[in-house]
Amino acid sequence: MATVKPSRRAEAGLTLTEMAVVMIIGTIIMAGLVGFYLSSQGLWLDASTQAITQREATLVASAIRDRVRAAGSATVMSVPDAMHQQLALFGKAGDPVPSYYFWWDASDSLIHAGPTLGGANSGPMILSHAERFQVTATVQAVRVDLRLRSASGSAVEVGTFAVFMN
Amino acid sequence: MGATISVIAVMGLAYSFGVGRGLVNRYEVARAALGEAQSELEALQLVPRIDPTMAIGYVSPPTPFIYEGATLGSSSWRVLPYDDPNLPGPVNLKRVIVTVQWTQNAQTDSLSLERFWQP
Repeated sequence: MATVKPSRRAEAGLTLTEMAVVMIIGTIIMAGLVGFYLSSQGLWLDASTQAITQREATLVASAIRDRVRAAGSATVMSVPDAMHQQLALFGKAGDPVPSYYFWWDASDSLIHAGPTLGGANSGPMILSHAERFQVTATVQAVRVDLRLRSASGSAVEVGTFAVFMN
Repeated sequence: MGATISVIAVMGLAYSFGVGRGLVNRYEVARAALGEAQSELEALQLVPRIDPTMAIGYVSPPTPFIYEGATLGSSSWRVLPYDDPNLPGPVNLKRVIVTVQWTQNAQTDSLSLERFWQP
């Protein structure tokens, strides 16, 4: 009885060269996919940090607007410079002592707020660094222009205007 | 089969990241526009009620809406009559509406803020 043997070609499988070619192509495809994914993830992280900074800018503008409305007058000082100013709000026009402050602190580049400059109940309002905190005050209103920098380096600008109501 | 699923998953994730980034950019300008409208409404507080620009029916000329040095659109306000049923008279309040319109990446957006004032 004759024995049926499989052909030598069927037993051969893949040669080393074929395996190498397949692995190289697979590696290139996977590297491309991983690179594409990491690039997209970087895009998402950049967007997330910028969104956080946008929310913080809105929060600062809203807080300043509310405080100005509750105040009667304000003074502005260029401390430490004209790009980073200090806003002092008085409860009523003619009050001798300010009731609330907003200022840029050179030690951490953050915007601080509180009833006293550097007192117990004062501190940074947000975590995004401020590149510009410019204030213009008249006898009737206050204008604030703000530029924040997100953790990924994107700039966010916001401006607000509020009228004294007190 | 596994490779196909991986490719589809990665492409889907990348697409969603890109869309999210686009929305953040869109909302960035929208937040600035909201600030512009709030500031405009606040500034109108300083206009005397008898001023012609506060008369019912007045529509202001558009002023440019500028963000990061670029003019993206315009801002304007209009004054409409409003009848509060709890107050005497047919037109007992002024309804001041500030509208900001802008175009970004060929997409036009707008927002309106309104406030009621006594005549």
